[in-house]
Amino acid sequence: MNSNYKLDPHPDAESLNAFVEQALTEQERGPILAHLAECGRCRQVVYLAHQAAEMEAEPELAVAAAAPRSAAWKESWFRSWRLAWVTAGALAVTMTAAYVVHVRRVEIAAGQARDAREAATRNTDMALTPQTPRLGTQVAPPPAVAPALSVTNTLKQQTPTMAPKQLTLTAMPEPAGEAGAMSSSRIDEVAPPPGASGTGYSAMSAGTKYELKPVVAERQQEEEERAAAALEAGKLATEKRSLASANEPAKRAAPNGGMLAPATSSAQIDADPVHAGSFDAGVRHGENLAFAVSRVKPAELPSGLPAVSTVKARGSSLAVDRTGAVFLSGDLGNHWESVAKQWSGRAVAIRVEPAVGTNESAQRSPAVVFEIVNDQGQVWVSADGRIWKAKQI
Amino acid sequence: MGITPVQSVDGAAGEGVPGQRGAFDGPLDEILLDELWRQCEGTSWGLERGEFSRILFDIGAAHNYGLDEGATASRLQQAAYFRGLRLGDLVLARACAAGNERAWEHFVAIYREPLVRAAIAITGSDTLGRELADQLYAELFGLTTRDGERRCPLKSYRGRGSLMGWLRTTLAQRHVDHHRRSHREQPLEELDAPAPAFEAEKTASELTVLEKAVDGALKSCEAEDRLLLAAYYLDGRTLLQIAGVLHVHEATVSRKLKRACEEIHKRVVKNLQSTGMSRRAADEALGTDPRDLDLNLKKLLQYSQSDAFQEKAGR
Repeated sequence: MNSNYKLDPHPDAESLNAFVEQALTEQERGPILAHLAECGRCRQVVYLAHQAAEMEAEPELAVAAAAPRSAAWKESWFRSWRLAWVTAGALAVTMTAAYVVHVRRVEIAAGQARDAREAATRNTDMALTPQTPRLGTQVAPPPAVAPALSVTNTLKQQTPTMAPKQLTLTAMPEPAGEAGAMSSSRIDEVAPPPGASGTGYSAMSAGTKYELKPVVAERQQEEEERAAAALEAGKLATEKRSLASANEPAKRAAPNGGMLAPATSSAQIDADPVHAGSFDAGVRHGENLAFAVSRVKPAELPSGLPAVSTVKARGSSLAVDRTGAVFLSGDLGNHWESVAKQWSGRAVAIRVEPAVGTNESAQRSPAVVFEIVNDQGQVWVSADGRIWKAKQI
Repeated sequence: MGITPVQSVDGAAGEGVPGQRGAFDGPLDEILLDELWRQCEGTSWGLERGEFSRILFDIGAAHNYGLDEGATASRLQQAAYFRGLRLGDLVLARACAAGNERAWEHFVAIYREPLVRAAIAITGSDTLGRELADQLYAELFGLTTRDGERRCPLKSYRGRGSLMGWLRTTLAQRHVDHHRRSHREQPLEELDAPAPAFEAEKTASELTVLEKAVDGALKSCEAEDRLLLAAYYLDGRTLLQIAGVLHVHEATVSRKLKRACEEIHKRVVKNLQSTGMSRRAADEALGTDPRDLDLNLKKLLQYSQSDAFQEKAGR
């Protein structure tokens, strides 16, 4: 305090200012604090002085804040992106977890389907009646839905760079990380056709993955031997199908890889020894996508038995259980209704085929027919899945 | 008082300065004085080293180097005290008070505009602010005289805190004093809400006991608590304003206020119980309508207004 304080009951301006600016020692601060507690005038002085100091400091703070703004901005985008990275990382982890869960579910479902199919195949083998093929002819497999394991095609039209090599779709063990990439065109469960239990065929499972790779000579030889053995065993249906047109650019794709291959005419297939023992893959992609056999919801049939063959086309799904009962669903397998038996023997497989037609309208939007194969290799066809009649070969 | 070279400050650490309190009975450390002299740039305003030494001595003696009355400052404490002064501002203020032209030019260039802005901020009016600033500026320039001697308030500045802060506080003092003088006809007490017609629901003796209990509780509060209570409840300041003055966080102010209120409550109950009242009766007495009490909290909180400084004046 200055010497004036002896006459003035209030601390002088310097003491009050030093109190506000914290320039006082503890010993000096105590009396000022005590006086401020009691003196409204000095409190008011202090508040006003402090308020003026704050208002004075605001423009300076604004200038000081504006100066490093550019530098701060440069950092800020990175900081904000760091948050984005964290979010993206969390999202990636979540998606990975969901993916792994999905893969496991698919594997479990595939294992169950494989078990059911093997059981059905064993039953089918017991009931099959060998059908004598015509000797000297190569049997072309039905080009429709069938559990073909290898499709050999020349990819000259589609992949010129690969033309010199003959490529084949061979069954590969499905890596766990790719199961989630199954397209909707993948056939889930397709029962083996009559005779599929022969050496020339192996069961196709839902968990099977196909890979396009060059055919080696050994593989070709093996396929030929398999086909010959199947023919001799009479387990193949000798039906031949002529596709709508040899020039029709219907393409065949791998069952679940979604890879497209140029359509192969029946003549080509006949001439190709590899094709002799193979069924076509189950998915067809035409230019106008006339139909597709797609993955449907795992059938929970009214019979309580697992479906050994399922097919879907044009919004209708058909399924056959291992007793040969056929069921029809119009809502992607959510509800099934039994189809009256109009065929002989026991239905073992069901498939979908394009309706034979040559007019342009049919080609633009070709109709499809469902086909049932019984345990004797005979075929019945239906346009709607309800009314069936024997197929005229 | 002359200044002669002596041993260094560090070498004298912890040594007290014997003799009369606050005086330079021993010479100011020459090394320290050199350091302070270089720091203050007094030569810019025509100040001499001897004059600077005398100013420092006067300031140190007046405040006893920031120590309690009767304490003896060691050389280290003296050095710390001097180093805490705003020597640049101090020298400028003293040069202005002495009428140095260059110092005034510098003062005007540096402080004129901030002085006006501060005055406007304090008064809340551009006109009043400029008027207040001009008035102070004229006073600083030494236009007022007393007993034929030119008086300059800058002489009272002693480097404790910034010169700009001193100017702001001086402006605020001028403004508050002017306001209080001009509103003397309307005492603040009359602004208090008038008490309603007293209906004696409680006996006079009970109310008297309660008044005494509250009075005693408030008087026993610590200075800081009373300051907080007065600033918050009497002055109507916000927590932020109080926190700004005390340099603490407003949450701290809030916490201290709450604690002070709880402490007062406890003390009131304790005071009531000390009169023979049961705890339950004391709690019930606290539920008395405050308007029934003849208490002036402003007077209670400020019961000893200026006592501290009057005590000092009597020393």
